Amino acid sequence: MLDKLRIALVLLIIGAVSGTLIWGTHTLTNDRIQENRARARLAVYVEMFPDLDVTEGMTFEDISHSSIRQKITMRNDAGALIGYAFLGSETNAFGFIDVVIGVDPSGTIIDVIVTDHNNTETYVRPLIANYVVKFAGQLITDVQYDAQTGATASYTSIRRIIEAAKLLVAGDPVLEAYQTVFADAARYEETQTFSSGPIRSKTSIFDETDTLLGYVYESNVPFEEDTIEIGVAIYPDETFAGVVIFDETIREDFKDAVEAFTVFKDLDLEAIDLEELEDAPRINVLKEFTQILLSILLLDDEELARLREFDFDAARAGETSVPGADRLHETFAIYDENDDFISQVYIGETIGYGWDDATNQPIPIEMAVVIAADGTIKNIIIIDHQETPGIGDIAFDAMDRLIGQSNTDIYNKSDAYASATYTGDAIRDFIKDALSDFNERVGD
Amino acid sequence: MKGLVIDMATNVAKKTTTKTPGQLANFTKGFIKENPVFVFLLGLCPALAVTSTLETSLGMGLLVVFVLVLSNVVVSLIKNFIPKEVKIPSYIVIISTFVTMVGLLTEAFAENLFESLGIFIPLIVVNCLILGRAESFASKNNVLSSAIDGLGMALGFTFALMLIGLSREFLSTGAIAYGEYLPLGVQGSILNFETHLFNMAVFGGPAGGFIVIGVILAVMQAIEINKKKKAEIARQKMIEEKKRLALERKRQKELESAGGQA
Repeated sequence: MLDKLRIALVLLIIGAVSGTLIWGTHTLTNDRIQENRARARLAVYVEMFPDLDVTEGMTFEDISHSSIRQKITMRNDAGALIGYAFLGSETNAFGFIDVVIGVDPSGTIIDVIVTDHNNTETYVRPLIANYVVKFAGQLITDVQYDAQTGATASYTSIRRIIEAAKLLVAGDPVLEAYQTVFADAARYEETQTFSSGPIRSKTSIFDETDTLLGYVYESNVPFEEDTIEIGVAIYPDETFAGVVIFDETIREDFKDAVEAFTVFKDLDLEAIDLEELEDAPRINVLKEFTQILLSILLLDDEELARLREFDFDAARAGETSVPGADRLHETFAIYDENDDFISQVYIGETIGYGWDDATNQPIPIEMAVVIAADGTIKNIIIIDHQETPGIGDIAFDAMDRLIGQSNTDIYNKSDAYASATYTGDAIRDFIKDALSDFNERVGD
Repeated sequence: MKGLVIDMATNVAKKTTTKTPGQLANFTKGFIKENPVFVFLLGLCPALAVTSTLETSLGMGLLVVFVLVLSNVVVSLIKNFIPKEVKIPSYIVIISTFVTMVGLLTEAFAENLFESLGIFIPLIVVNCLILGRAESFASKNNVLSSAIDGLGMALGFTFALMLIGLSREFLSTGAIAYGEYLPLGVQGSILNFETHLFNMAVFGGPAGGFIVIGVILAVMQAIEINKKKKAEIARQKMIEEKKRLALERKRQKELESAGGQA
C-alpha cells in the first residue's frame, strides 16, 4: 500500500512540475505566438486584397451558429469597400480544417486558402493544388463543386465553409422565410424528419441568444400543377404562430392568404376553426395542410401512447378485439372527461407489397386509423412498413388527403384514391375494414 | 612489496588516464562510432521526413539537442526517486514536457521552422533516441556524464540529419538556402551552385531520403569493412612476426644446446 502511495506521489510531483514548466513557457511565449498568428493571417488578407488599408481598413464581425467564425469587411486607403474575408472552421472525422475565403464586393471568390488543418496532409496537399484553387474566380452564390472529390471529408468540410460564407453574402432565403413569422429568428435546426406522412420535417427556430422561438412543420403541397413548399409555425406553448411560404418568388402572391391566417395568432390549437377562413384557392391550400397538421398535433395523448406501445407480435398470436376482420387487431374508443365519445381507434396490419425474402412471407404495413365520432377520418398513422420506396410513398402521400373526409366520402372516392398500387389498395382495404366496423359499432 | 607498490601506482595512473579521455569519448562517440542514425538506425522518421533541406535538418537537430540534454539531465537527477514500475511513463512525461516547451518556443521565435517541421515537433516525444538514452544511459550514470552523453548523441543526430539534408537539398535543387527557417540574422539567402541541368527532384521527396540514407549507410559500412580488413591483415602480420620470433628463439636454443653438447 505504502509503495503504491509512493508511486502515486512521485507521479503527482512529476506531473505538477511538468505542468508548471509548460504553463511558464506558455505564459512566456503566448503573446508572441498570438502576434505571429495575427501577422500570418494579415499576410493572407494582404495577399487576397493587395489594396487593403492594414491599419484601419478592417472591420471584424464575430459570427455565431455558422461554420464561419468571423467576417471581416475590407476597405482600401480611400475607405472604399474592396471585399470581405470569411474565417471558417469545420471539424470532420480526421480533425479540423481552417479556411479563409476572400470575396470581392461583386460576390466573386478571390481565393480560398486553407490556413491550418490536421487532416491527412498527403490528401489535403493535392486537394488544395488541384481542386481548392478552382474556387477562385467563381461567384460565391453559384459555386461549382467537384462531384468525385466531394466525397472526401476534407473537401466536404471546405464546401460547408464556402456554403456558410455564401449564406452570409447572399442572405439565407430559408432563414428569411422563417423571419416572416419569427422576426428575431437567427438560426434554425431541423429537429425531425418524417419519411412518410403529410409532414416532411419539423424545424426548431432560435433567436440570437439561442432561445427557442417556436417550431415550423413543413411540407410540399400541390398547387396549380406545381408543388409549393409551405410551413405552419407553432409557438413553444402550442399556440398558433403563422404560415410560412418558403419560395420568395410566390410569397407576394400568397400575401393575402398568409395574412388571413393571422387571425389565429396566439390561439390555442384546439381553438382554431379553419372554417372561419374564406374559400379561395391560395387560402385552401394552406388550410388543407394546417387541417392535417392540427389533426395530428391534437391527437390525444392516450391515443398516441397506446399506438406506441402496441405489441403487433402478441396481437398476431392472440385474439383480436375486432372479430371477423383479419386486418384489424385491436380497436378502442376514446372518451373525453365528460365520458362523451370522441373517437374510435383501429390498429392493425394490411398486406401491401413488402416481402421478406428470408421467410418468403409478406411484410405487412402496420398502421392505425382514428375515426372521429362524426364518422370523419381524424388521422391515418403508418407505424411501420417495408413498402418499395417511391411507389409506396405515392400511396402514403395520397392517403393524407383522406384525413378530414367523411365516412361516405371515403366509400365514394376510395377507388380513385387507390392509385392502382398494392400499397394504395392495402391502405384502402384497411380503412374500409375500419369504417365498416365503425358503422356496426357506432351506426351511421 | 616493491612489486605491489608499482602495481598500485600503475592502477592509479590507469584510473587518472581513463577519466579525462572517458568524458571526451563519451562526448564524441555519438558523432561516428555510435551515431544514432547511421549506426543504431534510431530516429529515422524525422531523419527522412524533415531533411529535405539543410536548414530544417539543422532546426530539428537543435530541438533534439535541447530535449535530449535536458531530459538526460533530469532523468539522471531523479533516477533514484522514480519507482521502477513507472520508469518509462515517467520518462515519457519528462520528455514530453520538454518537447511541449520547445514546441512553444519554436512557434514563438522560429515561426517558419515551426510551420515547416509541423507534426514532427510533437513527434520528438516518441523519438527512440531520446527515450533510449534516458533508459540506457541517464538512468545509470551521473548528471555530468548524462549531460555530455545527451549533448554528444544529439549533436551526432544533428550531424547525421545535416549530412542527409545537405545531400538532398543540393541534389534536388542545386542550391543551399539559409536564413529562411531559422533566425540566423540573414533574410532567406541562397547559395546557388548553378547545377540546374542535373537537379533530381526525387531527392526532395521521401524516396530521396531513403536513397540518401541508404548510400550513406553503404559508404559507412564500406569504410568499416575496409578498416576491419586492414586490422585483420595487421593482426595476421603480427601473428606471423611472433611465430617467426618464436621460431628464431627455438632455433637459437637448439643451436645453443647443440653447442653445449659439442
